Amino acid sequence: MISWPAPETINIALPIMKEGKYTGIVDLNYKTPKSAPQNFGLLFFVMLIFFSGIYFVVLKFIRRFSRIIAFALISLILFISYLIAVQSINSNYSDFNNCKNKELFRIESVLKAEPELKETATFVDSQRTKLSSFAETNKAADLRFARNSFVFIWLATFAIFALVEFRVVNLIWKVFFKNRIAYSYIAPATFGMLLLVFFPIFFGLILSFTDYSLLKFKEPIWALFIGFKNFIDILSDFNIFSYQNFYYTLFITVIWTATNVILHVAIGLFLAIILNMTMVAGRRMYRILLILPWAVPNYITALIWRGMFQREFGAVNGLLNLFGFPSISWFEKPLTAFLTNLTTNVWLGFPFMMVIALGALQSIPAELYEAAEIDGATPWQKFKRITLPLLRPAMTPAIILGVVWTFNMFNIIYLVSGGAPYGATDILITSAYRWAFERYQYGYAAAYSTIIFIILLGYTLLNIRVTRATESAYESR
Amino acid sequence: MKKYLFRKILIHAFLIFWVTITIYPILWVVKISFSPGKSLVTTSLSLIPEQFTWSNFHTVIFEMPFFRWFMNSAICAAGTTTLGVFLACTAAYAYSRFKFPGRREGMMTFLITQMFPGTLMIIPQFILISKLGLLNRLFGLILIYSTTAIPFCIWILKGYFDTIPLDLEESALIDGASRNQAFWYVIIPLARPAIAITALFSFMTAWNEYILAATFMETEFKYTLPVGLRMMVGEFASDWGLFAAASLLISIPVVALFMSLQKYLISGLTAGAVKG
Repeated sequence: MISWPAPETINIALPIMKEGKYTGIVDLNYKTPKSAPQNFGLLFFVMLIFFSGIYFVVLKFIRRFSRIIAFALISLILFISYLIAVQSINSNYSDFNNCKNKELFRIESVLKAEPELKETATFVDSQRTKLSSFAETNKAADLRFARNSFVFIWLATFAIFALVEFRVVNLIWKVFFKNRIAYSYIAPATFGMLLLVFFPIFFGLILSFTDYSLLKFKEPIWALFIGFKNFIDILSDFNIFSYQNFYYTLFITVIWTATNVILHVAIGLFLAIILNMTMVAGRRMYRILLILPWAVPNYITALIWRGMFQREFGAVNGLLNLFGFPSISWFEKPLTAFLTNLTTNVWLGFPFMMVIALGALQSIPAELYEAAEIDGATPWQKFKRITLPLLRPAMTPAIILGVVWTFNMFNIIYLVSGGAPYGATDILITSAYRWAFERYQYGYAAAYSTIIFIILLGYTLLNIRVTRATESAYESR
Repeated sequence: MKKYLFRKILIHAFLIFWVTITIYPILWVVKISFSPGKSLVTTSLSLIPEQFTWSNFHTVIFEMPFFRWFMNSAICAAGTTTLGVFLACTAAYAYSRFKFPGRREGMMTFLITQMFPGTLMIIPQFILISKLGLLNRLFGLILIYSTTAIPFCIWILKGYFDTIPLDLEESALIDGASRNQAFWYVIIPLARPAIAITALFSFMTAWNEYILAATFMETEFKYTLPVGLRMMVGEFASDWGLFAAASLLISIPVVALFMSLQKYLISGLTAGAVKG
């Protein structure tokens, strides 16, 4: 790879020695011409906008045949401006080659004349060739850039031209105009998402096919493209007894997600049902206290629980001691470390499910229960036949969302057990993070997150399909 | 009646047990924050500090740029809430009320973005923010936070807008209101619970976020509270008293906000979902 733009300055400070005595110093400071590709890019871009603007204005007034001429003219102007750009690049560098280089050459020949200064002369010579080779590199890069921009803009103009001619633009414009109010409402959010969410995701997906790492930060992405190697490396490693192995981590992640969501839903639902009973006094108070964990920032929760599980002075071991059990070193064994994470996340997450379930319960009309009671239904039957089916529409999206969140619950794992011992309790997202920010293998980490993404996407799509199927089954009954 | 009494006692016992589990860790932190530095070295479960002291709070507030970080967090959270709620409201309204090409796909795509691991978007986001010249600026954080909060907000708001009868706006439109007026003066006031909830979540996103803030904010002066807390307590293990005091101070505003809006929580979150 050519590193581009090439170094621009060369400083030469050479002592001149004559018969072993210091007589003076040669102090030279030369610059290669600065390459200015950004300016060219901007120029071409402005031209593109300018031309397409003219083009659209012209479009309204002239016939098809003249439009083709207009396009030809635009191509011609573009080509001429490309030639001008090339000319200016050439003159920019020839100025250097003709003047600065000659000056250096003159100094060199003066130095050469003195036999004692021969070494200095050869040094200057080497620097001079280096400078001109830098200049050559820069010049080549500039020319390439100008050419590429020219081709790109010509293609873009051509694309616009073609779209207009085949009435695609018309069609798009019509659809857009018809729904302009709707689009104007979603435009701000969509624009923000495109720039700050979709672009990073897209970039991440591209990174997953590269060998990008901290050491290769300066190199262009396309030079690091390695195809599916990252994915193959991750997926074909079957050494499942290593804590860093993908399948082991996936297993932990699935267990983690399943236990968490099941506990969240079970506890949340149970509490919601109790809180929904009219006979319980002080329901409001209980509810407020029970959603408190949701309000506490979750990184603080994580750190509090980490403290609670401390071996020497954590409250959990204190409680164990109180009942006569010995203290446990929670973070030294995979199982106990996993339990610390689980406890923290269950503590943190059940209020969400509780609130959702409460909302759903409140919307169930009381008449249904009354009718069931008249028909002689037992409480269990009422729960099974009325409560559960009617909770379903509210709980299903909440559970899907809960699964996605828990699957990607970075803070808890990272801050409570920190993957201890030796990454045994890491889930996929924390190991991806470690690949990126502890081992600086960005490409590999991106492949990891792409796999996470695919798993979750598959899960959600499947779920939506299944829910739809069950919904229609309910309706047809 | 006696049977009911027994059941009542059982239920209350269960609820009290569960409430104890939920608030014990919080009270534990309160205790530590009022205890002098090294007093964590006791296994006592008691929630009353053996020696009472304000020194932890004093250190946090007066010996650290705590106020500055607090202001940064407040600006950041306020900006995120305003921008995020505005963006989400307008988009959710369009998704709820208009039929247009790309509607279903748009909603799906927004949902799908939730599945991409956020931590791995840091690198591209960092590149983007530095190219926009927003590195080390609160505005950069606000932009990122509000856009990442959008999908969830849109889902909640759309569900809620769906439950508001169409007739209301239609009559406003017939009376000569423009679309915008109908939206701002009819729909928005009616959707208050859902808006309160999305505002709350946007606020919490910005107030609680650590990793992005730590990556984008380079100078101590620009830190937000989570980053400041991390720096203050080093690796979080050194001084528990300071950590506890600081986390209490950080949590109080967000918990207060949460508690004041919690009455909207149930209706705001589930209105759309219950309708199905």
